[in-house]
Amino acid sequence: MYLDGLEIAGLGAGMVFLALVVMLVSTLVLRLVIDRIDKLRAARVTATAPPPTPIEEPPAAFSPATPVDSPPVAPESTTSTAKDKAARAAAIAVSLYLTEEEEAEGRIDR
Amino acid sequence: MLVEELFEGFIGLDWRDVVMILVGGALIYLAIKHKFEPLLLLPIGLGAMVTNLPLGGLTDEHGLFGVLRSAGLDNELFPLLMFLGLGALTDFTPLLQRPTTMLLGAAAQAGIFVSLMAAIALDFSLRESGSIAIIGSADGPTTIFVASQLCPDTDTCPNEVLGPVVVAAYSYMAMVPIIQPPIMKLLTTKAERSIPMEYTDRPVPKLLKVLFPILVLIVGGLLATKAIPLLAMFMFGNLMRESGVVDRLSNTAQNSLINIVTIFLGLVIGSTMTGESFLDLETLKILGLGLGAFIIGTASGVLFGKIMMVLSGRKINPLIGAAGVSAVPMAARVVQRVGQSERPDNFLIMHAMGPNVAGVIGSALAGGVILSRVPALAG
Repeated sequence: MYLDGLEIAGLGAGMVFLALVVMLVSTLVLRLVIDRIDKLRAARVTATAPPPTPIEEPPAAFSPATPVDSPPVAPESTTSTAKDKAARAAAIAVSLYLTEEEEAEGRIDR
Repeated sequence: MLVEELFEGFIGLDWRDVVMILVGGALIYLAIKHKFEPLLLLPIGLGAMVTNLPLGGLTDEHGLFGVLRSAGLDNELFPLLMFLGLGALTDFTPLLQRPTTMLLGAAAQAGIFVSLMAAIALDFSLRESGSIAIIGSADGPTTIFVASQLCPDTDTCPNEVLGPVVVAAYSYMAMVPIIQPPIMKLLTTKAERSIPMEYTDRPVPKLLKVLFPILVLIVGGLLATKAIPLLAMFMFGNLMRESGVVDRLSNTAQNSLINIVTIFLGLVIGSTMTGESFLDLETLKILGLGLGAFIIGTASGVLFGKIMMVLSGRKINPLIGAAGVSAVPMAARVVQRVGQSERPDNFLIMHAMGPNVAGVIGSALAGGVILSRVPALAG
């Protein structure tokens, strides 16, 4: 039985080491490949990207310190038109109908 | 007659039941007072107490513990579900940031094979020795998985080993903060323990995180076929986490599923701690061998860490080798604590997490090898 034990111990320790070394090497290779792919992809994106648009110089008269009056804002309408209300109601009705249909078909689980 | 009926509980009480009730109480005390693996020791302690109260019937074939045992412990169900949850909880990023630490997860498995030889020397059968040796994996689900297959009943193994082996594994895992530091200090000098390891948050590509569990499953599955169930569930859990497309499933595996299985598993393990099967010399031997396996695993991890320290030009702190014994994340925390006690600005925990998760893979592989060779040789 000692020999059996020795066989299991030797084989087991060797197998665990071998497996983890193979995993280590595979991980390193995988990482290398992924890094290379990322670099190639980045290079291709740079090569195919449109040339950068030149930044226009601001006009000489422009001065950031000059206060700019905010443009007049139109007062927000508090009442929507009858047409808007009808469109919103129709959208709600359609979405409710679709949800019910999906529930009936069992596509939505609650 | 009436008096006998009234006091039938007391009359049925044996001295061994009393001792085991006290042992259960001690486990509950350790869980609550010292917070040693409370998620496990609390249900184990209560299970041990309840099962030793006479005439309760919980451990009968149709009692709660009996049903749970046959449903989840006598087969592969509970350990594999636990592994699914653990896989979903595990982050391989520290390992992928420094893949060479994977070797430390292999070195720390030496305790399993040394204690296998020691168990044979103490006249345990080959199947029993394999079950006892796997305590050194410091991994509860792997221990249950291997021991329940090698020793499913007393026909296969004359000694009742499943209960003591599982209890020993979980108890020692809880006691990692007590067991490991003296060994780590014994095998390293103060200067070695103070070696600084700077943490650089090296980004790991998402593609690598997704492919890694698949890679481990294929390589590990081909080299240790009997480890496939463990590896498959662990890596499936991890794939759910890293893929990022099944958050609902990943969250369930990380929380609800693993919590439910932990409750059942803890109670059932506790219920195996009956006075009859637990209080004998064989159990003491099993506990001793399990402790030896833990100590040798820690020592071999630290010694391999020293080899890596030399090869790396003192860039690797040998303490992180101790985390290779699995016991996630407790062993990594111990490394952090011991390292910081020598040098307060040294943060080793992220470096220790690499060998720590590699230890889970290593212990599953070691379990697979034992499962394939022991029955073949024992017949």
